[in-house]
Amino acid sequence: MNKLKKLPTLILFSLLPAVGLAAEGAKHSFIPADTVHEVQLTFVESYGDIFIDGTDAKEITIIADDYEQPEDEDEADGFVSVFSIGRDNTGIGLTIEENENSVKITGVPNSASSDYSIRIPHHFSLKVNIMGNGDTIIQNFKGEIEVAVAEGDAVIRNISGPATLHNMNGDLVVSFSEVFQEAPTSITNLNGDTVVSIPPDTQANLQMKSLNSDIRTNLNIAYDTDKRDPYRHNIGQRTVTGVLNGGGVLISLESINGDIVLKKAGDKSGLAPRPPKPPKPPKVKRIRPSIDDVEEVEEVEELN
Amino acid sequence: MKCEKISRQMTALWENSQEPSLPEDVRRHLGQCESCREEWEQLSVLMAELDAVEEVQPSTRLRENFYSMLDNAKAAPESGSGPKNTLIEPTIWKFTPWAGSIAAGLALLLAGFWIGSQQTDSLVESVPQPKTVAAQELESLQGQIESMKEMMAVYMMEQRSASKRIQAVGYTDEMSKLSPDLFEALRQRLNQDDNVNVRLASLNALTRFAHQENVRAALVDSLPRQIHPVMQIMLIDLMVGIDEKRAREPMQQLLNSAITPLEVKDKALRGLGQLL
Amino acid sequence: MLMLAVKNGTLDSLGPLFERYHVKLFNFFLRLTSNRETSEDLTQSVFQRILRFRHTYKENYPFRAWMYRMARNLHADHYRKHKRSMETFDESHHAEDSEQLAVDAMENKERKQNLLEALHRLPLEQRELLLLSRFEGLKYDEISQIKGITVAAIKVRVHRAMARLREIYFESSENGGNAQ
Repeated sequence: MNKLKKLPTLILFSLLPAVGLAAEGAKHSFIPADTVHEVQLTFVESYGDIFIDGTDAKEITIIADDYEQPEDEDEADGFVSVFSIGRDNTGIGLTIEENENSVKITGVPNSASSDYSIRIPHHFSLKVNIMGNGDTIIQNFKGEIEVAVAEGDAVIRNISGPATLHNMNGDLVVSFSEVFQEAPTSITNLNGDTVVSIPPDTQANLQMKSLNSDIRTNLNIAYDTDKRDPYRHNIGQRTVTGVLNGGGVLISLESINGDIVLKKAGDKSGLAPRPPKPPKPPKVKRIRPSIDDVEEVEEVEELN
Repeated sequence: MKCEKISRQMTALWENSQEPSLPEDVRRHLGQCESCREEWEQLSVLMAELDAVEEVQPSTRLRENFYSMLDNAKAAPESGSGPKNTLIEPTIWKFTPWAGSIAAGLALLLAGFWIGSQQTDSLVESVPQPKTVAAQELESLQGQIESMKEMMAVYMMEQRSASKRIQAVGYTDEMSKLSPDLFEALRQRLNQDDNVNVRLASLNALTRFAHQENVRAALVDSLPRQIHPVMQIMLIDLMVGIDEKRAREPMQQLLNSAITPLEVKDKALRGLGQLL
Repeated sequence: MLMLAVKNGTLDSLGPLFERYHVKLFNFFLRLTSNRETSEDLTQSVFQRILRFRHTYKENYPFRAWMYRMARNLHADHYRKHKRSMETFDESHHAEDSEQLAVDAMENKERKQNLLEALHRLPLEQRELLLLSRFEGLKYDEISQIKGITVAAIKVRVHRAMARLREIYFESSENGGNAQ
């Protein structure tokens, strides 16, 4: 269950690709048409880590860390791969198609084990779908983000949303630089833990639901006690709704088996490798998203 | 002397960590002291090995025994030994995870009663006195606004952005009634949207109307159409919550199917036990 | 919160607590007793006691610490009652049984078996301490609540236990594995 413990390594890793991979990996770079404002990224089979960074450059740059071109048996014996996912048209295990408004980047099946580092203009919107075992890091985007990950952990940070995020089996660590106020943000998880940081002055309506696990926060939420909906608290789910700083856009967090932690941005606890212990415990000690820390929900009230 | 202190410090670094980093002074000491370095290496290996020991799963007997013990305890009259409920719990936290079917049935009954009473209230209000013109206008205006919102919601549910679709689905939170168009739109999101968060939002929206027969039927019908485990689990949870026995069949099918994920089977199995 | 609900009569809330902790508890007992059946029984007893003594649960007391306290007490009782058989077990069937354990749990990996062996050669008190801090993932302050001694004392004891374990473990692997 202690999946969050992997995260420090993941964070460290995230600092490397920009430098490390650029030096060694195979690179593919292009400038999309002016009308393009969206990137769709799909990996249906990948074992590497994927790092997506928003930049203020115009081009899209992809670096494959250790992609090995498969031996071209196909053409030698006259057989062609039956995978409809697409053919490698980049030389680094990806198919890239450009339409009027969007660019589609799709991993071909044998891109499986490579790490990819992808730089995309930060105002683009993103639709990311990854069904592999690697970890995913997405950072520095100003547009809408949709992410669905099936296995690895995902860190998504320095974004403003709106964000629609899902992880099936991994942890999901999300930090907002600000929260976009016009369309809702929704984050769901099946088995992993979900840790979301937002600026403490964010105005939002909150909806948090966890079927089998805990919800914890160190934000000052005005919990909603006047429920119009007679079902919501009676169907065996643990639902909390409330208002933050007078209310605003909807942020909904839902999980089945993992914990949900909603915290103030800037509170680094749990995200960075833990420094040697200072003599005094930090103030919001329970919010540290180590699953070992799991206590009962009433701590949310303690924190307020 | 110093080594002893360093050595203690090194062990303490592992409290709740899998790969602690060494503080500068310890690192410096290790640079000079071979025996401490060796100790650190051994400690790291050992901790890693300890962490790698896998958990052994108990037999299913344990769970069975636990739940039958729990059932017995629930059936037994409250042992008067302890103090009575002296705490006022904040309402918001008062949920009953895994409410048994009895509790859920009761909730349903209460909900029905509540809705019934709301309706009677409005009847009592509107029938005896003829309305003033202003009140009638207001009412018709409100009606217009609601149907406008409804149109907007239906329209917006087709948008490309998942966030906007969720927003559209959320508009139904403000609506007192579920019109046929809106119902159809929500149902389509529930069953066909390719984003699981949108599906889930639609399920939550429909849950508010789970007292309506057409909604219940649609929810039962939706279960076999869902392929994402999150949707399967949340739907089963709702079916148990509203004591919808027609869901037994699709639940049984999920249980029998070889491709159903374990979490879902678990939920279905427990659900079947509750939906008797 | 869940435990508070149980205390106030919502017994169903014990379900999620069971789901969350029973595997951990079972493994805690298993590492202490090396016996699956006993461990299952003891795990069941913990929850039985939680139900029976739910009125004594104090709000704001960490549930996990409360639960492990009961677990320790139960194991201590069990240990006292079966001391004789435990002792013989420890001396004569030890290797065989922990081998058995290693077979089902550790996929027969010799290294891991050595580790479990080493763990079993620790005195009970030290073994328990390492189980709580390493396997169960409790923090020193939680363990201090469970055992009723200071965090500083826990720190020193964990350190001693680890030093002992290191000694046993690396000595036995140097001797070519299977310490009998």
